[in-house]
Amino acid sequence: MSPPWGGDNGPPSVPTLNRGRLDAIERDVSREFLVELVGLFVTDVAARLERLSDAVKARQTKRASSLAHALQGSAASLGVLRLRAVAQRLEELTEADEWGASDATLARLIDEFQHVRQVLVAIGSEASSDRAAKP
Amino acid sequence: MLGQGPLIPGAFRAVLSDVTLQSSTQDPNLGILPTAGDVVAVVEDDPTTRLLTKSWLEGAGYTVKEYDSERAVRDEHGPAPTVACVDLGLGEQSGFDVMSFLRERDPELPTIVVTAEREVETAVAAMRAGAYDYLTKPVDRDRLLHSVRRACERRRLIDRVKNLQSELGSSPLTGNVVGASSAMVELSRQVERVIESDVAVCLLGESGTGKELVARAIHRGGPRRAGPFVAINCAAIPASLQESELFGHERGAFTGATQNRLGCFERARGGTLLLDEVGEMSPATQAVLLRTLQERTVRRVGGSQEIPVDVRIVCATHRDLRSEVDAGRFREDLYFRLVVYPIRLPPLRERVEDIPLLVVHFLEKLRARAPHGVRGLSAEALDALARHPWPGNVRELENVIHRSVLACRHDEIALADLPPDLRSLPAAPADVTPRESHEDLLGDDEEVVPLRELEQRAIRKALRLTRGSVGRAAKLLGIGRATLYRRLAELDLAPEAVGRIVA
Repeated sequence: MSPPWGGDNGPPSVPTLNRGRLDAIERDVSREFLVELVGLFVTDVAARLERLSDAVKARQTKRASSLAHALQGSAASLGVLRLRAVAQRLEELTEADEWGASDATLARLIDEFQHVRQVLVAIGSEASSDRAAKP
Repeated sequence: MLGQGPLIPGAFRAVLSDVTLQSSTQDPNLGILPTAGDVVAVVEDDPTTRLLTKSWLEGAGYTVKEYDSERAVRDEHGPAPTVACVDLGLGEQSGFDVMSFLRERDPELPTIVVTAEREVETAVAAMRAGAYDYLTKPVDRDRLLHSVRRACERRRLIDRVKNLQSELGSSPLTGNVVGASSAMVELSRQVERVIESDVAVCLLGESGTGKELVARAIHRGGPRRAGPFVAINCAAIPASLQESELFGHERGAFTGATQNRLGCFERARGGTLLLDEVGEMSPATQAVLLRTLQERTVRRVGGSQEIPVDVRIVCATHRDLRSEVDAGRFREDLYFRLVVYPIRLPPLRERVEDIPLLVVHFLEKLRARAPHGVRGLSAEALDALARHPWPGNVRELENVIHRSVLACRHDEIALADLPPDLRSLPAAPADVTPRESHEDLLGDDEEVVPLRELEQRAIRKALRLTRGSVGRAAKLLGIGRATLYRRLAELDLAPEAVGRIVA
């Protein structure tokens, strides 16, 4: 299966976020809830990435692929598309015991998380300043 | 006509309706309105997805119990949920195990499984294992609420049917006849009155109303249940053979009588004999039947011996036997012998509120014969069924459902799946105005209807007139929709049975 970004280390063709999904969550529930959800996601994914790194380093096929798989569900729920795509690729690689490529993709996943965290924090700040601006 | 199934009294029939299948384009508040007390168990190990799912469900009015693992589910000892949403990819555990555990604890629990987008095969396996529905990640809010709502409705229906089955465990019609209307409750009462005695019962009803099933219920519920039940359709037997069929014949009695043959009376000895379509009996046979009933003995055709018979007679006819007597086609003395206790079976058009329950029953019955994926009926299709006059009664309905299941390509029978003659019936008027007689609501001159009952009647009538539309019913009643919902809950009612239903 070809990776969604055109090569294991190539430029990603998948957008970082599905902003429409975040907007829908905000519309359906509330802005405060979206901020809370984003905070939970960031904390949870950070912890998962640590466990995933350990599993990849220890070459634990089943555990690594399972953790990569679970990460996709979490990312999908919030519309974090590129992180999901990279996690999906990592799941495939770990399942195939392609550990060299797995190491590289794990690094990419961590980078992507750092990037998406900044984007999400910015969205959270937007929400906070919107709230503060309200009379 | 009527198949095996539960009898449900009219007092509870309202629960069978208000199954509104909403899409995201419809009024979101109406479409996602749960019944107070619906509890959804969310089994999901991913905290983000769990929080999001919980928030959507709580926003729609459901109570949510959340579990992050199979262990957490197993440790739960509180009341069972109404519906469960189970993530099949529960980390290293199996969502299938959770599903089996939940179903072991509560076999009727509708379970909605959630899978990754790429795991449609897993979802299919879950459906085969008994899941109610499946959703793929990322879960869509409207799809989730739609599925949960339908699952809750299904659950409520099952619970009600079970409660009623248990309440009516002693009803003579339980297990024989399907019905929830007041007409069917009255029928049950009538049967109960005669079941223990040997009084001659005459079942009066159109073709397809279930005369033979009621006769069987009388037999099974009475003291002769250990004996045989024999039915003979007088309309299906030529006049020249009726005597032989009923009373038997001796060898050589007529050309072709090569051996002795027992008649229905002798075969039913110690049990019950149903004389179906008794109005079609020839005058000659009527005379012999009268003598048999008087003497309690039969004499076989061509025989000379009087053979004592101890049989309970139940007769049935679609004709007005009194008119047949007046017209000279049926013996009056036989009429008085046979029609000691007449019981009228209501035609289906007089109990349209039973149609949803009958549809569910026939879908289940068909599923037992050959698996099919049809779960229910669209609102439009159910409206069409409610408008049809049903000359063939429940037998015709069964035939229509069978044909529709064969035509149906989705999980719900649509209007287009119904036979053409049902599709072309005129639609119910879009706007209705109250035209009910005051007597209907207030009772007759001698009767004072308690206010609570009066209110119930008015609400039922408004819902019936509007085919279960709460908004329009509230308008007719001159109250707000929220008030009507509150009153429905307080009175333990739900929009009437001409609403919508899923199997």
